[in-house]
Amino acid sequence: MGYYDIDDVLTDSAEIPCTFNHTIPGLGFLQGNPGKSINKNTRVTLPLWMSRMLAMVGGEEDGEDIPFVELNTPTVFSQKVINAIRASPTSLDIHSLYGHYYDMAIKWIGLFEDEKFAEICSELLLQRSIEINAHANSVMLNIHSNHRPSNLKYSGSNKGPTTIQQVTPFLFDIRRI
Amino acid sequence: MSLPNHLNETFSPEEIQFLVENEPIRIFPRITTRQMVRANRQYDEFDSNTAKQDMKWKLITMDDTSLNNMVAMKSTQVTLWVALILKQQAKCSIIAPAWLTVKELDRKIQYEQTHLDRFSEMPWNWLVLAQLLFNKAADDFHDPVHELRSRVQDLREIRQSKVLKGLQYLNESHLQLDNLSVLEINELRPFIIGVMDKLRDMHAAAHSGSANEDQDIDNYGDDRYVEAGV
Amino acid sequence: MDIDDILASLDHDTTAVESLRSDADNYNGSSTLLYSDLTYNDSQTKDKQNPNTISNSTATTSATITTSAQDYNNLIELWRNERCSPELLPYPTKLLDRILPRLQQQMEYIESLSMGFISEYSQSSKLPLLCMEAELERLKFVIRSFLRCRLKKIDKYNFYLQSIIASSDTDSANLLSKQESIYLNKHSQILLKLFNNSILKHMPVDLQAIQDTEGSISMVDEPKWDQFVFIYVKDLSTQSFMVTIPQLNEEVELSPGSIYVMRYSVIRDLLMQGKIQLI
Repeated sequence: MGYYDIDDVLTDSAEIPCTFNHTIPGLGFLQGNPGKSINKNTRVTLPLWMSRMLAMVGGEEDGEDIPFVELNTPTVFSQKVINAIRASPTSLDIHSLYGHYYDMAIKWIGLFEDEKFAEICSELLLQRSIEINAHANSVMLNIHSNHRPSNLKYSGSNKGPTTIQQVTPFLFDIRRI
Repeated sequence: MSLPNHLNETFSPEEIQFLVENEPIRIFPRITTRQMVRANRQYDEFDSNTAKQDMKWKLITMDDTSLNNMVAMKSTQVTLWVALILKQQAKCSIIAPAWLTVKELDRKIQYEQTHLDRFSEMPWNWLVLAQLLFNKAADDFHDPVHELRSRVQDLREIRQSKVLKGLQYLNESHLQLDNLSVLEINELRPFIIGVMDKLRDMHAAAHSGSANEDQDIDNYGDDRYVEAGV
Repeated sequence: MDIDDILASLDHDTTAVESLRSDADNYNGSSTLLYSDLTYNDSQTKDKQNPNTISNSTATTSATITTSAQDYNNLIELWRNERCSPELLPYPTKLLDRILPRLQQQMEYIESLSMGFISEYSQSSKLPLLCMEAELERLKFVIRSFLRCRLKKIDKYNFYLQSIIASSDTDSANLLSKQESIYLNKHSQILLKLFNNSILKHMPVDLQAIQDTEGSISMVDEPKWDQFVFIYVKDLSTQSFMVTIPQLNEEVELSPGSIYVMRYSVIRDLLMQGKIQLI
């Protein structure tokens, strides 16, 4: 992850719901009220790079150091999504949740040192990668069998558990296109 | 770019074949290159360059003694790519390695099927070598090539399915992959490295707290930047 | 052909091969430090090469040939290491100083063969020539691919390399060849000029830095030290190596002849010592 890493930059602009812990004058533009102040307990979504800063520094209130904003769990990491991941990591449309899901998860985990969520995410990554790899292999096998009609796919389904045709019937449609 | 992106930190199948072609193999030459005409014998002692009619093999990446001492139908060992050229010119037949027989392959398949948790011991170049010999020296096998081919294919698929199962155990620490051949490793490489790198990042984020961006810098050269302005 | 001749020469051959073998063994056994050992090996070769040019006896000839075979194997190993490692590895000056002249000589030799003398040889002589040409191309391919891979890394880690060279570590002294360091300097000059002319000079002065480390992330890309690589632990001895993964506080035993996937930073020292290779 370097300075110029475009994925990193994009991930840093992910929107995070935040709640302000202080009333801050002049920040109303974040809410669409330029010139006004932003009130305590207002909920706004801010990009990750900004909310991270605001969540780390803060002002004093009642003798306690309270950060400017409180980070709320974004929907993509909500309990609902976590339950769905637990139920079946491979049948979730992660891309529709967020394009850089893992990168964002890594940042989120880093903020809270959330080992539990790290484990869930690792499992998610692993299961999905294995599934994707299986699909990729079946594409390879199909390409080979086009070159050499030596019943590669049939011998495969008899001998080993690589019954890829059954797993991924739609890949044959890709070939027809 | 100087090196195409798809070759970055991996090898193409052609390059793997190139590596395998550098390995030795045994052949039966059909030509004689040994300069042992009796009349010249006494000269040889003094100067091996006199009285040579045939061109000498002079190679710069391998020991060319065996090439200069080939005797027809006496088995010798040469580098695979030379053997393939000789074969193409019908100047030798290639002796298939001991494991590349129906009997031996059947044994390996048997082993793979009974030991579900490990891979049978295969040479590091078995897949590529088999492929090369099937294509270029099919007539040198004692066993029917189609039978060998289907067994190699079976063996490959059994092993591939084991690999797929083994992928469950990818982690952020390390992995031991004994008895996997160079081609099998090469085709797993992008996948394994991609997944393990991500797993490592997740683990690091959960454990080293604040900045996992700094993970990569770690021990090396934090202090190595210089002020070289524009 | 006389059977005695064959037997005699067979005898001769086997001994020759054996002596080569033991040579190779010695070499392997003593190669504790691959990258610096090239230096050590080099002094030996020089001793060997000089008498060779004078006398032409078979024994010494075969010794050089073995060396060139070893050199080639070393080159292949370094090529594979370079291709798989995230960082730029030291440039094997000594090794290429031996291989490149050999390549040149061979090219000239083949040239002279195919120009004039070919008619003196019988028809069967075309075969060695064919192989010699093929070999030349193969060797050129490896060298080219090796150098291209290095160039790519020099491009990629431009500013990082400059900084470690400027810090004048002993490590970095043999990192680049002469030509490579000229390339690095010119390339970064051109790049800086481009950055400057197109963007930076239009920016406020304090935003013009290209190696600013003030922020949370350094602007200079470093190699990914923790990237996973495939390693093969060489079969040099029965002794296995213990390595520690500092981030996990985990110890791993690397046994000879085995293949592992490891973080590069963990095995970097072993790689530099030539005890493992990247595959």
